[in-house]
Amino acid sequence: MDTAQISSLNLETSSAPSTQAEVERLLTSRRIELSGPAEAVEFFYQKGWTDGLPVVPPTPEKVSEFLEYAGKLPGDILGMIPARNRVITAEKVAINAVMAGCLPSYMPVIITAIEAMCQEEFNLHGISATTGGTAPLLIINGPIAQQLNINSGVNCFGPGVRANATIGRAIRLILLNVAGSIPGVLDKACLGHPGKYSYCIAEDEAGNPWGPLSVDRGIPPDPDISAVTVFAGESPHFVNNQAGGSGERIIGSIVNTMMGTLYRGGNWLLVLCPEHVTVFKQESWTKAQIREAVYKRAVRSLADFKRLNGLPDNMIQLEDDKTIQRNIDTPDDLLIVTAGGKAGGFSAVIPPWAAGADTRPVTRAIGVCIDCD
Amino acid sequence: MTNKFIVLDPTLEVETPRVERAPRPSQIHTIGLLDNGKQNSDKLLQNLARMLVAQQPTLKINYYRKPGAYRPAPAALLDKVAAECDAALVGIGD
Repeated sequence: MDTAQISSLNLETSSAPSTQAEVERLLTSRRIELSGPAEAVEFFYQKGWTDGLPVVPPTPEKVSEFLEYAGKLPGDILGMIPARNRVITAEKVAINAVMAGCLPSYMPVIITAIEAMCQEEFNLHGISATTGGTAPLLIINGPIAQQLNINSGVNCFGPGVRANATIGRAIRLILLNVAGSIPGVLDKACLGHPGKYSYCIAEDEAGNPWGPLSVDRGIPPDPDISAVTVFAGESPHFVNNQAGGSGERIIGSIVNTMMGTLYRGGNWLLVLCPEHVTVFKQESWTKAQIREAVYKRAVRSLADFKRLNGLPDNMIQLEDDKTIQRNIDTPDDLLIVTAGGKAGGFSAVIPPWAAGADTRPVTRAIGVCIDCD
Repeated sequence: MTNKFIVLDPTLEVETPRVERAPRPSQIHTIGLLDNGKQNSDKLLQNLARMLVAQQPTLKINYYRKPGAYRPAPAALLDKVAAECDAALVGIGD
């Protein structure tokens, strides 16, 4: 089935008006009868259907409530993973969203993220099977971030906020239960990282003197449009610069963090904290200037790159000393997002998957059908 | 319990279709080596090729390489290997 067929299928099935009770009658998942919620929690552990934490039992009533909110019918197809011969339906997404502890109102974000992750350029199969251990990071832009209270501020990568914790968790449960990314089976991550439990932030647009990330990524600059960007990222690497000093000095700190890794190519994500944003703003830096400065300075010789990668001397040629190796191939490969608490000079760099350009971030508007007429 | 508590299965519930092995060829004239594109996989496969030719000097070796290590082999490439070889060696070299 190709993409055109999928969208026509969506249109066909979604156009019929439906109540929660009608949706419930259309659920096709196997129904399991248990004595109550406590038994359900243990049953899901026994079946290996959790991320290691207890889940909210997905009852048909809750699942159909989620689908009804999203305006989806159970059989609507949200995406496919051809390499695994797997189809992701709205019903399975809703079940896992209930399990994650989501509210029904989170469904549009989750659905859009799944659709984005199933675009070919994201390479979902690769990024969720690799020894490299990346996780899809969701970055939310637009009014939905405030409506759902998605944290873009203090401790945004950490715990404490339901939307961030459970939207990211729903994505992981879908990867485990529907996509089959079972650790040790299809997910061969050497270490993995904590973002594989949940990896979801919003952009601090109020504290952003530039345009939002979604607009950089081609979404129209309309204050009513919200969007999700999915980025296959390693864990955040902090850029510890408390003194600020100047934009140039902060660039130096960013580049130092990038060069502490041996990743090259692909897209990188720079999360700028408010203190660092303030310095750039005072000096009237544009995002394009930040990208250009990082691109120019994140460079070492190929010889150094090979040495640090552990290659033996006999694989390092004389000309490698003069050959330049950049962390990013073009300035535009650096994505910039503003987030974090008001106090503290800690920005972060999120390197790409080790395979670099074999995954690309995808940005999609929420609740807007791009393929529709 | 008098009240039933129903939950739904969160998994795909689709049994992976069982794929039978192709019949073993009685004679192998041409063998394909499919390089998965990882560093050093070429060396591993070329050594294997030498060992096979030492055992059967008339053996023809066809060498194929995936366009990239990080994506599945394109169907057209797999069809080509199947059409041109009696058997193929595939695996992950790193």
